[in-house]
Amino acid sequence: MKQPTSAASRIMMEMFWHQGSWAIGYLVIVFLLNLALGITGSSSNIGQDDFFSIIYRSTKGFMLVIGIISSFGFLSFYVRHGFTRRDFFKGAALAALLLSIAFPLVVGPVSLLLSAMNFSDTGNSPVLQAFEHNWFLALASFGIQIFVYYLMGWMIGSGFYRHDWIRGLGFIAIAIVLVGFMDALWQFELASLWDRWMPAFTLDVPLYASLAGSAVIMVLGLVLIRLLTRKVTIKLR
Amino acid sequence: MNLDIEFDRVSIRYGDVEAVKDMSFRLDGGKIYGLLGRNGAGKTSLLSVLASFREPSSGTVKVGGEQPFENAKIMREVSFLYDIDYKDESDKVKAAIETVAGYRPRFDTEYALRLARNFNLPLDKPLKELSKGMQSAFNVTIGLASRSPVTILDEVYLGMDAPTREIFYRELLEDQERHPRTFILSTHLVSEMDYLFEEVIIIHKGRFVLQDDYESLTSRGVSITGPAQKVDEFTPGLKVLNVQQLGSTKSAIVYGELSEESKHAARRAGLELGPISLQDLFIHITGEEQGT
Repeated sequence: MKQPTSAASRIMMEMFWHQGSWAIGYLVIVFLLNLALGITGSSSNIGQDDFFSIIYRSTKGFMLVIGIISSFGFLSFYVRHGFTRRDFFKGAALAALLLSIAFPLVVGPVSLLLSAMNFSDTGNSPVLQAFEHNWFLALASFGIQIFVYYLMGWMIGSGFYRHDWIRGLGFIAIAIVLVGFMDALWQFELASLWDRWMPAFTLDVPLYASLAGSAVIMVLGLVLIRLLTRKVTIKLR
Repeated sequence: MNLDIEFDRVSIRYGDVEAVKDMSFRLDGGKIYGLLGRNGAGKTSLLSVLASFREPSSGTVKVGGEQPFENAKIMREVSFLYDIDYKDESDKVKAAIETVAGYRPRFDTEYALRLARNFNLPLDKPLKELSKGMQSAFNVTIGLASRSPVTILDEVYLGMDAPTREIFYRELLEDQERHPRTFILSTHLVSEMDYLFEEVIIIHKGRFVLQDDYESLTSRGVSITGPAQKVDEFTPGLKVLNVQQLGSTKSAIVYGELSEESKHAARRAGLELGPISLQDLFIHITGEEQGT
């Protein structure tokens, strides 16, 4: 009889592999889009922005979406195959963390490479300028924020999976507040995403406060997800 | 590895609706059980609790003496196959088999591939492109090859044609012979599948009705046919499930073993005694127009 390997680490690796392949597809599409708009001289923001700035913004949406998708698809799949909700929670959270680390590790060097090849003007990147050209800080902030966006997607998906749509909407509201707060902690991002729907505010805080605030949001998100999924009924479909 | 199953006063509620009411029964490990009930009887709800898809609203379920819910040791030994929706599943059949092989500790990949061949499953086709019957055959393949000590097959034959269902029944019996475990088969096709069952559990409107081994259950049902007056004289005191009358001839279906003396008396009175099928018994027990 085969000895089962650690259930959570198996789920982590499988989900990382699966979502990583989506991420590669997404990066290729953004790159090609960036290239096409750059060549055609589009006057849109996308055409003008450098690769890193575009990825910095759009990956949040990507992580939010795969967080939502993963919440119910993968949960049903793993419980159906004899895994506990607890192991799924651990494995999925670790996979999201790995993905949030892998993104900056891939995007940073690729941006530099594109800049060196004159495909993208990373030197004038608005995002990098906001971080005073500190690549480490820019990439760390990128990783932290996309991880939070994934958690928010997972929380929203879990809210809809467990409850009716009215309470599901409540989790969207919680996510908007938490994401708004996090964006404010990282100062310049809020306006670009939320200013159409909610009043923009920025918090002039030192770096350690941004990190601590983000950590609190992550813990809060993880606690809410665990509470939602701890005893959730798996739908038969 | 045989795991006994015990339901103790299990109730399952969906809001104000009580799908399963105070159900208690025990299944000894290593047998094939038929779980029979009409639509909405609570079969799938009951089975989802056993598979840890949900917790009971009240009462306890134990598998091998332990609560299964969120118990990794038990959950990996319980397989629950039902009409799974594969519309978004782009994995190919062979890859999907290999994936499950990594999850189930007793999975036999060679056997799974052999079953897939017997069912004519195209190994290189994505699950979402399989026909309904083929998807059901895939579920059966996974259910049998997992060799889980508790294997629940809830209406897994949907869309299968008759020859494929025959392969399923034959494989089930053959593999049970080689690797005995607990199968729970929930079905509407009672007449077609009754020979598979060692024991039968009948539930109705969320309540437990009876549990008995197949032989005793069918031997306890007797049809008594003859002149209406003679049948009426004979049946008082017996549990009559159903009565049908055509002209002056009446036929009563009785549940409960008749003594040798009663059988002689019936024959002396010109009454004809006959066996009844599990399907008849099921229909009469769960029918709306039950006898008294």
